[in-house]
Amino acid sequence: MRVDYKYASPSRCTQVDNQATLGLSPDLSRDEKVSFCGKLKHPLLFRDAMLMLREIVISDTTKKTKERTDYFTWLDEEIERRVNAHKEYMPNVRDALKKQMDSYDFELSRKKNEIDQLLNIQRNLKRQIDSYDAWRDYYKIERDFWKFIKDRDYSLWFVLDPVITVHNDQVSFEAFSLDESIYGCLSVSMDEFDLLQTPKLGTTNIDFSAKLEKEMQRFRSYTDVTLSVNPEGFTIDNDIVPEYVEKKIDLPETWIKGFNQVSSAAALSGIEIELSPSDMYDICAFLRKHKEKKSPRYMKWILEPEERVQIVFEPFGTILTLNAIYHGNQKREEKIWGRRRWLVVEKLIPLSKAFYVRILGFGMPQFIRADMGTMQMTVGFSSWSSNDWVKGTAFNIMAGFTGEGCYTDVYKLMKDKRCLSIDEIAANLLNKKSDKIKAGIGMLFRRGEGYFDIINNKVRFRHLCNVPIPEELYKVSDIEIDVQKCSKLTFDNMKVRYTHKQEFIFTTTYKENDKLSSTEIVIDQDGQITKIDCNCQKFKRGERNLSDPCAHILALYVASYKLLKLKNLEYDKEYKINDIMEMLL
Amino acid sequence: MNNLTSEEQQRLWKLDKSPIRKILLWGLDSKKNPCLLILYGKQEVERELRSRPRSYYADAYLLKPTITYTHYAVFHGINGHLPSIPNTYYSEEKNLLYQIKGYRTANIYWDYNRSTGWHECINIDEKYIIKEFYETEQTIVFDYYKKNNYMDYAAYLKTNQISFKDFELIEHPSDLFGFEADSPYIKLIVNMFSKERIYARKKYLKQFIKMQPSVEEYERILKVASVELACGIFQELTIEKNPILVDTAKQIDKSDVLWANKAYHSGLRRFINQYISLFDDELMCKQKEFIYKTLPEMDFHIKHLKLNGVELNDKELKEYLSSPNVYQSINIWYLFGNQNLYEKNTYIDGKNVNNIAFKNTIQTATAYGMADAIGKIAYYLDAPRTSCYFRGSGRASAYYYYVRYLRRTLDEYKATDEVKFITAAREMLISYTDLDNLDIYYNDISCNFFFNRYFGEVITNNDAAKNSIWHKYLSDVIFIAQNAKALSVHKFCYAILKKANENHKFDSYEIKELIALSKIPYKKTASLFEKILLPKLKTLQKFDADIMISLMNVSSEKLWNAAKKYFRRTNGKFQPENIAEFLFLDTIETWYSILEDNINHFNVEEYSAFLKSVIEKREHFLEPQIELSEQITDLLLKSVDKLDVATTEEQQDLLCYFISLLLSFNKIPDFIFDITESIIFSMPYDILKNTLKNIDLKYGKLAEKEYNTISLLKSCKEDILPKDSLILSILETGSKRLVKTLTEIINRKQAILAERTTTLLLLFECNVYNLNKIAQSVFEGLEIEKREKLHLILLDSPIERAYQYGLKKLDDWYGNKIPTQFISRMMEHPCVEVKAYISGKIKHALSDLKQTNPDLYIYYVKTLLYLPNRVSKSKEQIYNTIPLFLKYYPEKQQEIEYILLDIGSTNIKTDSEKALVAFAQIKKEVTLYESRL
Repeated sequence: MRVDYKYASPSRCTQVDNQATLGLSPDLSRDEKVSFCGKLKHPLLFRDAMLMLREIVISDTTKKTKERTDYFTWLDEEIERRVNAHKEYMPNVRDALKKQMDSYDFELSRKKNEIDQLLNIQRNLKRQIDSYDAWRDYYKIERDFWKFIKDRDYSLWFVLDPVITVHNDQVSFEAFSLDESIYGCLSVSMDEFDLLQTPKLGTTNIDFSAKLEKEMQRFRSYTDVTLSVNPEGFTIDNDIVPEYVEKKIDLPETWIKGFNQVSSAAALSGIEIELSPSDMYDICAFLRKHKEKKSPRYMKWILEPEERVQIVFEPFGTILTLNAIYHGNQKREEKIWGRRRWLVVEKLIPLSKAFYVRILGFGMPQFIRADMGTMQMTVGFSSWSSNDWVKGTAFNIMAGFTGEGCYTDVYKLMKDKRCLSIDEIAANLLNKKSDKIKAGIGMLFRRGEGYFDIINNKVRFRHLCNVPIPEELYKVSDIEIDVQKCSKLTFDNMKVRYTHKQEFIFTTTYKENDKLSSTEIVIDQDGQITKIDCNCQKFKRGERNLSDPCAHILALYVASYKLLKLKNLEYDKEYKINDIMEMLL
Repeated sequence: MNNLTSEEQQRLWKLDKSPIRKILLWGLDSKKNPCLLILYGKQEVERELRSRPRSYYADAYLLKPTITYTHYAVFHGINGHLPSIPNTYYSEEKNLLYQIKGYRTANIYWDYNRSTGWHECINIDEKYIIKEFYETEQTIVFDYYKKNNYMDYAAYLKTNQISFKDFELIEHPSDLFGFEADSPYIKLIVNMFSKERIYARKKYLKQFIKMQPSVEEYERILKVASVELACGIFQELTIEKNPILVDTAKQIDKSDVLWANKAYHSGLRRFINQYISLFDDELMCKQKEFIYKTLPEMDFHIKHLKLNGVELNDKELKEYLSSPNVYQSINIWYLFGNQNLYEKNTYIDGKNVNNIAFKNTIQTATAYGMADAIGKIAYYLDAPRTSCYFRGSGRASAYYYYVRYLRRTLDEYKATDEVKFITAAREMLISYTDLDNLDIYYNDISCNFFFNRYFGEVITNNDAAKNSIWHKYLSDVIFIAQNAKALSVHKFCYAILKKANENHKFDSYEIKELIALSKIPYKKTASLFEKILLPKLKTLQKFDADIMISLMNVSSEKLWNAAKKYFRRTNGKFQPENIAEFLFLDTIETWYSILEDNINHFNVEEYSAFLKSVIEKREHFLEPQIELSEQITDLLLKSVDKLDVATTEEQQDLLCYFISLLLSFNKIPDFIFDITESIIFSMPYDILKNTLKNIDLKYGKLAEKEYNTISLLKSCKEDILPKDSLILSILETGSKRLVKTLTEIINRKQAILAERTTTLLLLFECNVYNLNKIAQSVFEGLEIEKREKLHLILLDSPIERAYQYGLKKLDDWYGNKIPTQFISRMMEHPCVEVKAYISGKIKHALSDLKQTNPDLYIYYVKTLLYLPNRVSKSKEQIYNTIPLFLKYYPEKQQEIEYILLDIGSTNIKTDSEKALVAFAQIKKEVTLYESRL
């Protein structure tokens, strides 16, 4: 999706004596002209948190393949040259040429010897001359230097600008890493600011350059730092024509869809464990000290009810015992991949009172929330570092955000109220069914017009882009349609069994185009999926785990989630849907 | 069959299916609206004819002379206007009559089954079935070969008292059209209202218009005319630019009375608007502008393609579409009309063509005689992507309609207005590319119909090439040859040009013209002109640099060799101005060594002339934008060194010239700006300063690059240190010459720097070694009080080179006794190195820290102690300072204890032990302190 950002000036940090202004230029092409001006109470905390957000933004854990573009360009040209040569000198001409060439070859080798000798003389002479020239390599060095700068700067320049939203109660900065596997959101409470003007609510992309980052590093506890979002930009007093900074960015589809998936995943329930700073220190110190060179590379969290959390780091087999206690009901083991990405939170250890880790299950993302008092940092990690947020699991379906629902009503309400919990939305839209409301919220996320605040469990209004997102990015996907189709069939043959392990086993069969698919899903008492299975082709061809589910599993999950409240079930007895309905009634 | 009588010859029928004959009659319905009645009758076979008596299959049939008309259909007009003559088809098998409406016809197809073999099938959409289709109640028989006119039919029906449902027959056409029976127009009018084929009706309409009827006569016709006939009238009048009915047209346009249903009536409006616009310059210009603007949208370039569920990116798509016969391939063929292959525009909704808009543009372009647009559209229709789209998406009939329409237009141009034909053909020929599968032997209407029809013969037939009309338009052929992109088009041009050469048509061409023609990309054509050129070149005895440069600009080794010979033979020499021309050569890379040699051998005077000549030509570099290679711009920038040996006067003269160029504020190419900047700032500082004395450096708002240059010149002139913002800007974006001059100015103004702390910080942080050194020497020479202040700022810097220098100087000047104010500042530095540095030196400063914020110490301690796996030595030193800290700040004990216990509980033994030892120490000291109490 191509978007044009327009800034009145580059974002700028100015410092005169001990007064610093972090001037963020908002994107002028937006309808809502957001503005904000407030003095920070804890500039050091803000500085370190923002520097950490920047680290997320530029982090890229993808393997860099050598592009060898020069080689392939040459290869293409060479192939074309040869094809042309072939067309020009047809095969029958080739023989005649070959004979001629043989005779020239002899002559050529003789001449070549002579040339080599002359070249040697020339080279020696040139070397002697060059040795007196102080600037001999200047242009080459300069060129290389600028190329280096361009290469360096390009990666920084290409960073997808973070999104800043001014809410009634907080200012939030959201960003994705370059590889789109890490999501970061810094929420700064309004209590952190001494407001210098009434804020105008809204969202904008900010021009967060490497230069700005350097300037932010000058913040000190004795400097008065003012955060200013000013649509008029920030100029220096000189005679340079003020030029609008315009960025044309081809926003990757995954970036836009990623925001939606993050919100959907955030809305899913999971296990939350509170870690002390020393626990996070332990994890980071281990990761710093040990660099794995072979698989498996996961860390396994061993969670036993009311016991200290243990983490097994593979392939070393080392076990760390944290201070944190797991308060869940059931023993579980959770594997987490892409653990080196956790090092991005390292900088927040000294600043945080506690960390809250939310684990959603096998092959699912994790969220870490750092509580820094008036500031909160939420970091979301996709299932694997090689996965962005869009690949694999459709979190929006699992969270029940399918279809369009009453999107128009939800949009109007959210635009007005700005921040509401899902229940509050339902209370405001009394005449709408809850699944339609959920779908409407899902569509709000999908269109980039809202996000789920995992800290407060609320939906917040936020326009991700300055232009409406193209329909193909938010339209109901094929898998959603399949799930909707399957949902109608789910209850037909659905059965539930409750085991001694206090797990629910849901099974059903789907008949589509004369093909039968048997689907099974096991959910433990914490509401976590522990096992899935389906004999359809889509599932068998895929990863065969929750990172790549089929429509049947998703439909069964959505249906079964509603039945987890069932109580007094007999162990290992199979209940059919009619029995369940009777119990519910 | 040979022994048939002449009467029987008339009745000979060679098709297997007997013909359905129609008779068209006019009448009035119950609402007194004119209507059409069409009688349908099958002409039966009398006997089969065989060339040999034993042959199984009949070769032809002899039809019966009389036809019994068994069915009839009534078509009603509205508001006093006749309906348009419908194109109908009578299906005998189904006993149905349906309407063939252009490309939306009912679907006729061939099917095969074992019992009947191939047979015609028909799928009739109910929408097109004509409901008012009845069987005749009485027998109606006519002799088909007897020349009956309308009145004969009417009389027959009247005599036999044959009646039809809701139809009252009009006996005399003059009653309907309001013309006397003996009027000279009546026969034409009857034909143009009744002929079955549209082109026949059009023929009679043209004849009618040629007779120049009056407005009143036109209006009489328009009173009952169908929409179709009225459209025809207005279109013909538009083509002939005849304003006779402008007022009438405006009245019809304003009127709310519908002549047919709304959709049909809007068609009439379209034609009327075309006609009215013709006589209104503004409207016509607007329409023409619209056509030219939207013309490229009529091209069916595929912009998006999803194959097997995967969307191709731009590069892949381009590559895929350039493979041969790709549009005919099964992969794409079935996507036409089903996938959004195109961008949405005036003519395409992303997936399908908007036929109304497409047709309208073709008709308007024809009506306005826009031959170039017609040519372009003809090309678009010829291209395989278009023909495949139409046929693949089931719109073949529409495609053939457009092709037929344009064919008639182009044929007419060819017959009556050659200039228009050439204009259209020119546009068409320069548009073809090799991807358009031009194949003159593939004589199929589905692809490249126009190319084959109008140009194919010239390529294949010698006589056609010899007698072509193109010989009268050789300049156009040359233009096409110079701009053609397809091999077949080049072949076409070559065929014409070859014949023209045989007739010595190019003998009078100038050498420069011939050189230009030798650049034609088609080898055969280029060598044709080379052959004419070379003998002429040999006769030249005097060196002409322009000819030489033109020859150098042709990419032919043969001509290059000829150019070299010519240069030697005529003792050629390039003037500096000629060398400046080199920069415009397309082949400059080939002649780089000559350019380099010449520049290297210039003396200062020649070099100045060369530079000035380049500057004079600066506008040519801007439009079209010529980009010089890096090698050449490097050469030009390097060559500036030649001015080092120039005299002061020469240097001053050049300075004045280039500064005035800079101050002229005209747009100049980047490389000229770089040269200008290089020249100005390569001059010795004193000369620059002296020269600037007499120059007024006034400027308004500028772009950053120009601003930096002129502002720096101003600083030179006024001999002052530039502002910080300028220094920063030059350091970030300036060229090496600019930085060099800036360094020189700063070096001269070192004394002022002592007062400008922020400028000094800038110089410390920049990556120019000389400036760092200047800043250091100024800093080291400062008074102690000022130095300490700057030292603090320096240590706050996030730039490594600046704070590392600050740390080094701390060691040098204070050793282990670092003043407290430094330590308290460094504790909140974002870089670990700085924090680690003070860990060993903090102990003695703690007593002074009492005055400062203890929270800062805790922040410092936490940021280092919670740093995983790093700075272990510093951590140890910090643990040692903790008891001392608590001595001064006992109220912070609980907070510190919490940190130590938290770290003490970690799995990292060394950290844990250190933290717990520190914790124990605190506790011990507290106990000791309490026991003392």
